[in-house]
Amino acid sequence: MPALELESVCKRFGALSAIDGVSFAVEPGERVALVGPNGAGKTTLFNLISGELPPDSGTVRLGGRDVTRHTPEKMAREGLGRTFQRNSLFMESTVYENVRLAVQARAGVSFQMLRPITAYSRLGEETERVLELVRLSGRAGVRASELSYGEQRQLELGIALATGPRVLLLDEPTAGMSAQETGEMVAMLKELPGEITLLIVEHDMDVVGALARRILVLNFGRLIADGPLEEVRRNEEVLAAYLGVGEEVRDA
Amino acid sequence: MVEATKPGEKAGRFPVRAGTLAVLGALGALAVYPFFGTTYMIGVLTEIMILAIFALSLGFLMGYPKLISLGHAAFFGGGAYAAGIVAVRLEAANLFLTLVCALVFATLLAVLIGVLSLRNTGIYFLMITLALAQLVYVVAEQWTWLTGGTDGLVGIPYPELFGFFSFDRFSFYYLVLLLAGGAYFLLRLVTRSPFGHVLLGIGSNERRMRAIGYGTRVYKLAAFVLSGAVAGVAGALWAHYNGIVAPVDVNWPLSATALIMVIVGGAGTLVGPMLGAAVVWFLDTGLSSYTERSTMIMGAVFILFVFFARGGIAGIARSLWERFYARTGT
Ligand SMILES: Nc1ncnc2c1ncn2[C@@H]1O[C@H](COP(=O)(O)OP(=O)(O)OP(=O)(O)O)[C@@H](O)[C@H]1O
Ligand SMILES: [Mg+2]
Repeated sequence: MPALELESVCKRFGALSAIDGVSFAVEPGERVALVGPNGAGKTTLFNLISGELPPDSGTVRLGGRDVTRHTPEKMAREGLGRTFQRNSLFMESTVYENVRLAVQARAGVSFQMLRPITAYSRLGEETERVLELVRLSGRAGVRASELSYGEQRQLELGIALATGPRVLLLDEPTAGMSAQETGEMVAMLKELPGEITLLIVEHDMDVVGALARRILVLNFGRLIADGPLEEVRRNEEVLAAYLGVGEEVRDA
Repeated sequence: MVEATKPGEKAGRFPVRAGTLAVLGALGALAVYPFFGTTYMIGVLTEIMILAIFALSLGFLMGYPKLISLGHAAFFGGGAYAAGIVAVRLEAANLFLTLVCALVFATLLAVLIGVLSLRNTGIYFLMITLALAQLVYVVAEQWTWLTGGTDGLVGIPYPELFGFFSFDRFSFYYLVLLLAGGAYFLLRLVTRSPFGHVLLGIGSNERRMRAIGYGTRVYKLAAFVLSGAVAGVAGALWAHYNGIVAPVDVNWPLSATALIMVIVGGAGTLVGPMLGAAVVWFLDTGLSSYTERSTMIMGAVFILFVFFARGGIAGIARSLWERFYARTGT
């Protein structure tokens, strides 16, 4: 059974068909890259899967269950994690508090009001484990707003990981990073537990090659290719899309 | 320096221990004051402490989940009416009875108003809390046989305890002090709990909270109800203190005054709004016996804070402390 499955998902913004009949399935533990030119609809597709936006039509399934039009919080509880293209952190809190809040989300203690949070040692242990995964243990006490951009990107990943997702959507995890930071992020993502299913939006083909074997190409909201990296790279429609002549190719 | 902070501690945040010490110091000073002070000042401080509980309840909402309600007088006044009606109409001024009735009534009212208003966010939330609170005001004004209508409900006595003990000005002061301290320490505990951290997260980034699995509305409702309940207790004390409850106690200017207290004192802390209550009282009621321009002066002070000191008094104290901290080089 696929970990994630989309069936003819559509979304319009007024006259713009942002996502147009997209269907694909991802197997548990698979690592898939989602690429496409700017404005192709990649982030919109993530928003449709994670419940931030309701699709106009089509079905989204997670682990075989129909989760179409679930709220974001329900999707998170069903095991879907995501990161945002533009960092979405708790800026005034420390790195440690950021991750702990995400750990707490599935710990079942969030209505406890009469004991200090530090009394819940389980939260602390799990938080430290996640901080190590994203290599921020040494920065635990620093406020998120005071981190470097690259570190904020790591924290963005840490928050998503801390919820213990089975399927993780990463929206341009290396966007805006230096070559060295990108290398570190790739290494971190490679170390993730094998059972986590990954869908990664990424522009850098080296990163795509390092992380995924299968690649989905989105252009003007339509899925124009789905297959192994080497094959898709030779696909003419894909080449055309990246040369900015997608429209003509489609009309032809 | 920053790395030395223990995980989980708030790096560079308001020095927690200094804040707690300041509160304990203030409580101590207030506890001994009646032995030296005038009867008049005991009354003034009682009034301020009641308003401080009210401001604290709103400050909790504005500072943590960042919900700006403009209808908080409904809970304060609602609690005041509940206590007053029990004391006058049922002729039962037992402290526990009036307080519990005020608490229960304010809680139910907060559930109702919270459920209806929390479907919206931002300015719409604010407008709906205002509209629903004004509905409570209309009921208080119109339901004359129960509430006394525009004249208010008069003749509310100081509370008593099962016929053994009747409060007077002096002992009532201590009751209010006890409850003000209790409300502060209760909410302080709440803000440090797992629940409190959820509220802080909602105030900081609600979208991300939902993306990591928090159904934020129910947490906001819980905070709203808790805040309303605390305001209701303050209202009950208000009724006993003044001996009268009138529609002004549920009207929007009182909600606005509480909002100003929170902003002047500093949202985001619990001490700030309580201090703000004292400052606003002196600027408004206090100055009004010396000058007719007291409302203007308060307006000017409010504007100064909004433009130049967003963090309020607590924010000023924090930056002074940080400057001091930086100079001593620790
Ligand atoms: N909420 C919205 N309302 C209206 N139009 C939107 C909305 N969100 C996205 N769009 C439009 O939908 C199209 C797809 O946007 P999307 O952000 O999904 O692209 P993307 O593939 O993620 O691009 P990028 O590589 O720049 O991140 C764009 O034309 C965008 O302007
Ligand atoms: Mg995008």
